[in-house]
Amino acid sequence: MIEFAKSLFNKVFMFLALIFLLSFLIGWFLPIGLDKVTFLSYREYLFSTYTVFTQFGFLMFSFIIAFFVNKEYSNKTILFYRLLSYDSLKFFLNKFAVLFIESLILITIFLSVVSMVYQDFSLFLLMVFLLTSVVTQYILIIGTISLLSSNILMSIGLSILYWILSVVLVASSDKLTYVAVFDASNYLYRHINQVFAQGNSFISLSNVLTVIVYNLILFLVSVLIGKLMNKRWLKLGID
Amino acid sequence: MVLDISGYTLKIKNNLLLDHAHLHFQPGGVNHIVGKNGVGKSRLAKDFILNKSGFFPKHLSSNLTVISSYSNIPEDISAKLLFKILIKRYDRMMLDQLSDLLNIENIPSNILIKNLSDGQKQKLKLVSFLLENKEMIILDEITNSLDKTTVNEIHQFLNIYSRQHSNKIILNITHNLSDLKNIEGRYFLFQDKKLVQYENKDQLIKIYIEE
Repeated sequence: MIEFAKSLFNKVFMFLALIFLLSFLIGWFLPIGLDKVTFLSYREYLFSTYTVFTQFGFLMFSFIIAFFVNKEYSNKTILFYRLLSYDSLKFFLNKFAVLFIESLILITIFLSVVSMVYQDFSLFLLMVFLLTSVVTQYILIIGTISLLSSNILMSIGLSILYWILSVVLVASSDKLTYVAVFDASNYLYRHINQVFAQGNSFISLSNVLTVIVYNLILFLVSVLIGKLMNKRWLKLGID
Repeated sequence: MVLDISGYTLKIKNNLLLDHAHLHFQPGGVNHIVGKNGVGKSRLAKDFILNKSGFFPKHLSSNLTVISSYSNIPEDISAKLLFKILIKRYDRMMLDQLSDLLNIENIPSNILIKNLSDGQKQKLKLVSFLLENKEMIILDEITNSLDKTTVNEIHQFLNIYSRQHSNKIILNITHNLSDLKNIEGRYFLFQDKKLVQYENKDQLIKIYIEE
């Protein structure tokens, strides 16, 4: 409850909503403005929006996620969380849960509006699944980096460095495909492109599982780090 | 519980703050710890939590409450929500008692804590953290930058609280000499990398001023 209230009072939810709005707008303007497409179909628009989320997500989401975690260090409220019997893991999971739920709500709202405008809901579920998975990835990676660093600029910098490194690694070897599953150079992106172009409503089961397992592994790594860094969490909170 | 640690050494990087000091703190009353800026008062408080020096028993960190500038309550919620959260976890009666002692009924409950005065925030902080009801309480410069009325209220509160909780070890780390004058207790001074106890507060104040 406290995290939801805080996210409303310190305008995290509002900024999150603005980032989603911006992403959906860029998804519209890129093909219209840059590619000079005269008519953007429902499928083309949603695929463009998906591309924006996967290609610019680290840049757009890093500040708000890092802020939501790091401000507790800078505001020196970690001992208050300890007062409420939080440890570093519970602290992280609560932050993650709030950002995840708020993102899911916003994704559902924005996709509903787009689908209503186009009067086509054929990709609604797939897009909810894909965008939620992409954003979950950002919350887990940037959130974990922010938990490890008390400085917001450092958290943002490290997150962007992680993003660049993961893209380079994926491009350098087929064996490193799973380092950044959603990257545009990856097979999953091409598969999704085909699904959108061929008029299908969902991606293959194996790719659904790949996405779920990828986020599950990220989640387990985050949980492990959250569990192990209790003393560092306290230290960052009081130093 | 009595805290008795011999040979305590506190070092930050290459800076030796306390060298083979004897820490002996008793329950009942307030143990005032006085020292100039930079002698290591707050570092000592932080070491009680983090135990970087390794001198403290392992269970101590979970048995103490620290109230300081680095233990803030969240300012992006209202006092009403703060109490709602605290009541879920802590005893309502104790919350009411502490609130009465600190006269916090006058604090507006529906506005964000960040919009309250420093004194009001400090009172909310005291109420929140003292609910933990731990065996040891460390107050680190809690009267710093507060108006005189609030400081007097906090002095009065601490006198009553320490009498009502004579089983607790209360440390008051301060460089505000009015704390010593207005709160009964024992008196320690950071001196030559040791923590020296004085029987008489006037004697400590004289040495502190002349240092």
